[in-house]
Amino acid sequence: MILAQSSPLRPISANGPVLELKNLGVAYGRGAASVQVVHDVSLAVERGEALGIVGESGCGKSQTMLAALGLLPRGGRITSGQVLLEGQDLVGRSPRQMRPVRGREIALISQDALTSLNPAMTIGKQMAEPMIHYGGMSRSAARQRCTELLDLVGIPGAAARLASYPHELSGGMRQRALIAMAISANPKVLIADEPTTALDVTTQSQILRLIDSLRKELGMALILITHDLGVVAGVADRVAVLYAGRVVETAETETLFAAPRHPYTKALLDSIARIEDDVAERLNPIPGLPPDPRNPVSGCAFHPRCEYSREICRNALPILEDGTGAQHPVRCHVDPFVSSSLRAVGGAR
Amino acid sequence: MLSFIFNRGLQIVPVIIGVTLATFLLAQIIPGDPADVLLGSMASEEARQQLRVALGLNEPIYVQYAIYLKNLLQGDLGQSFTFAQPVTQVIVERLFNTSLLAVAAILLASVAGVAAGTWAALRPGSVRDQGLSVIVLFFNSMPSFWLGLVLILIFGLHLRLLPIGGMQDATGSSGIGSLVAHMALPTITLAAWSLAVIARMTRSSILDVINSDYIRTARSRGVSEVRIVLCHALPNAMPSVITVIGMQMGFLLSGAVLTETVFSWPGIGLAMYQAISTRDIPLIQGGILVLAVAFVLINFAVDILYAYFNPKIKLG
Repeated sequence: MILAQSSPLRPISANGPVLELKNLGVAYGRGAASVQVVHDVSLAVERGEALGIVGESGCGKSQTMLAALGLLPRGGRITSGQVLLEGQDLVGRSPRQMRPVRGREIALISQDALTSLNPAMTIGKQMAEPMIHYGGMSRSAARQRCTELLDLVGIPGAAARLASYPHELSGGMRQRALIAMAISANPKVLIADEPTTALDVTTQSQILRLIDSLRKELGMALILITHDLGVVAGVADRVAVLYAGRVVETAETETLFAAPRHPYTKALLDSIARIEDDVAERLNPIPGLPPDPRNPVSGCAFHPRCEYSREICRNALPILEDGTGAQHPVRCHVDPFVSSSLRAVGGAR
Repeated sequence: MLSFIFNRGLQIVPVIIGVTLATFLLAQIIPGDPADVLLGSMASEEARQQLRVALGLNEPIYVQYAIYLKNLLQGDLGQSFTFAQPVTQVIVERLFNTSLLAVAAILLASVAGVAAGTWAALRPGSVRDQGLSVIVLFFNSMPSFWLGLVLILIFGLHLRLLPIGGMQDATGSSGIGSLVAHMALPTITLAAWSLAVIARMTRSSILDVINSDYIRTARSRGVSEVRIVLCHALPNAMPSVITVIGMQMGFLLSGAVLTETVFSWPGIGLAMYQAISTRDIPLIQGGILVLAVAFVLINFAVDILYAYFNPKIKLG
């Protein structure tokens, strides 16, 4: 494979997760006006593994990942925890120290390819920029490499596309170009933040398949951020569900779908439209709105919307169990589906 | 790009026609008989009548306009009585001096303005950013003739570093050193206001684009902060900055009238000032026409630059 030439194969045997977040907290503003948007998030992704991060808009999933890359917008800061890249903590590194990590170790694919590509630069020029200025490549070598990358992500007439401006490409092509840019330095971890949200359904599945096949081909770990459990189902090995800036449940994808433990996860699953469902059957939306991080909810953040909530849910924050035995970790006092979940794991689909 | 330039060029034609109409009407709306104005109140009735015939003042107004246009196309803008020369000659001789001053001022204002604005935008809210705001406010609040006088006072009279005027010939025949020395104070005076406006515009445009997704994309790929600002943010901020620079060039031409007067700079501005004080109507007409056409052409050039920095416009 072309890509293997430019970077020697990495040892697969290295121990431990390639990227691990430990008790990460993110806040905006200072003092009394400070708003905590991510609380104590711990996640890990192994080499080559695909981790899905699921939650509603504003649940802190993008903020968590931007924090990992040191790319929080102005006003945002990491309040606690560690971001370990192969055991090395990235928190507290200066922008200069972070630069070699970005793109080469951890790469990012953003949500809207139109706004994520520089409108005043040709595709070729923005793709080649880090290769020429930080990768020590000659112009012609970078051009060659960019053509290969565009070819790899399935852009027809790749060489000619290098001279195109972003607005001259279709939405799907732009997303492909963005993916090509992200994988150009063979990152160990690829963070895809809602990579298919701005696309039509047909293109969505093509892009997802492309990301998944690139992950397998290049041996990257993938962190797929989405609000859509359907997107996660086909790609992720494991899923973490975020609610109001906290991880509320993590499990293998199959387990999560077959036997969700958190009422929020269950509600998310019930709100997915399935093609085999009876047309007459209505979707079950989750009542209410996610909490505003400026007015934190006491106890379990989900309790105002939860049909199983009890007294304790209003008063005490449930801890995330570490998942002993057959049970996977969940952050819930009530754990209402215990018996059914055990049954479902036994007779997995 | 070529067809864009051609189409945009076509739009200039009606504007120029409008400008000629406006300068022509200027002579019409000035109260009193143009012959009185041209000859002065001491002239005899005979002489006035002769001039009326010679100028076609007894013809209907549209015929007069046609005559005006015909003369204009032949480069004849009439006779200036203050300078006792054809208006065309007065203007051509001085156009170079004014252009030299205007170009130097706009270069200074653009380069220093963009640099200062960019520098401030790198650290919004910092001491340097707030310092720039104060300087911008100061430059924007001062009339240019006052700034010119203060500069003359400091650098010319107290420090005796630079000449305070008396430039006779800007073609550099008395040496390039003398030219630069004579230009320094008028250039700074003329540039100050525009520099402040350009700096403020650059700063806010960069702050507008620096939070864009594509800036984050570039950062996420390890692009350095210097390249982010110079190669990603600045080109995207340029269209609005260029528009402001273009508008400033128009203001510079009018600002030249005051600056040239303060520094006795032998340009169109000084000639216009003299023409206005002596009611030298043909020279005022000619001067306004030339300044207006220059303004239109500058805007044309700005539009082309705008298209160059914003590839999306080329399609339209």
